[in-house]
Amino acid sequence: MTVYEGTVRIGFNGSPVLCGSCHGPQYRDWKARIHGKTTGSWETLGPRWLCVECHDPHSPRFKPLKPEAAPVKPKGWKPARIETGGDDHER
Amino acid sequence: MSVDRSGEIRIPKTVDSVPVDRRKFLGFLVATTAGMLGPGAVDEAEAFGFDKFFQKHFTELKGKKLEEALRRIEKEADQKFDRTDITVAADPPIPGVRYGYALNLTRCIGCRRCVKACVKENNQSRDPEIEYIRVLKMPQGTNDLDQSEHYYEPETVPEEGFYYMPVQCHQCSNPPCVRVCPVEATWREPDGIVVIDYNWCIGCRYCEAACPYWARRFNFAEPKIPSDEINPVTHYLGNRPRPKGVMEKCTFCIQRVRKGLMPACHDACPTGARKFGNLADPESEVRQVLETKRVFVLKEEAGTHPNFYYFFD
Repeated sequence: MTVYEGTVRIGFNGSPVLCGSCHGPQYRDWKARIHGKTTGSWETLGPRWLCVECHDPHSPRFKPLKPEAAPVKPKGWKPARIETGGDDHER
Repeated sequence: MSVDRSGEIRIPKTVDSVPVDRRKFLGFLVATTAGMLGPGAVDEAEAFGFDKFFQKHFTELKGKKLEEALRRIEKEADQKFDRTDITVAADPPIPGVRYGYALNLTRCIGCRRCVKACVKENNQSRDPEIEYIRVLKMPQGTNDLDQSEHYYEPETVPEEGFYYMPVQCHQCSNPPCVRVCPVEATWREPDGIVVIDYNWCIGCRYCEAACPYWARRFNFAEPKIPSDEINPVTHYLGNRPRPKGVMEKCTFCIQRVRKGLMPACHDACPTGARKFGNLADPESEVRQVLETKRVFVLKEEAGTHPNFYYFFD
């Protein structure tokens, strides 16, 4: 396959090279360990997660998630001024 | 009661109080104390009473005394939560390490996975609820915190037109919370983590008022955690079970990071928005972010010099 780094054979571990041929900034950041996720140790910096381990190759955008429960509101909590249209502070 | 010229205290005679002299009174005090403790109770009192009360400040605890305190706290925690496996470590800072955090606001989707992972890892009280991380929902195009909201509960996140900004302890290099503590129960460790000695804290909450990031939480009631949800791997300055009436806060998961692991919020993030590492190491992830991205800190004008950075892609 021809990618911007020349003609290479893309193996199953080669997704960054293939994806990076179009998504340049993401590839650059991924190589610098800014894009993507690392787990394990901050000291030894283990193996990176490849593109297809997080992104579905056929639909790479992350799907919306259901958020975890919100914190418990304190007693007598009222929405802030912005959301009530300023009633609380207009006197 | 009156004091006469000779300095002797006299208790006036009334119908139901009889004069007691000092010596008799002290004798009575000693006898009742010994009676209360009793032969069987002495062990327990030594384990949980005197030693706890007279325990030194953590920075002054060394060697055998420290070991004793840790074992005592382990026993206390085991008893409280009906477990046998709780360990309390006191790993010292790793030399040459300064912890730093960077959070990618473009990637964060506000799913609160970090919040819940933190609660689990750090043995926070489930009722009343204590959470170290607060995820602010902000309208796009502003960083005005007055317009933020953190009780959002939509069906799915991210929502159109908003971005999300998780706020937790920024482990400031110039921490206002440390400066206001009247008993020096909180301080900054050499690796940059601001910690609390829960045995030394008097619960005055000055630090909570001083923190510009709302990062400190107070145990208004006895923390309630289900026994089977306890994380038994704890650190003295971090996630060991806290009593009622003390402050607590994010410590970058001191029990994890001092062993070389990432904080729990970092590992829980499903989008990889969180970056953690050693600021002193030019190869670390967080240094890569600082060197190549536009970063900012929250409330820079407060002069707190946080070690927690936000950045955009």
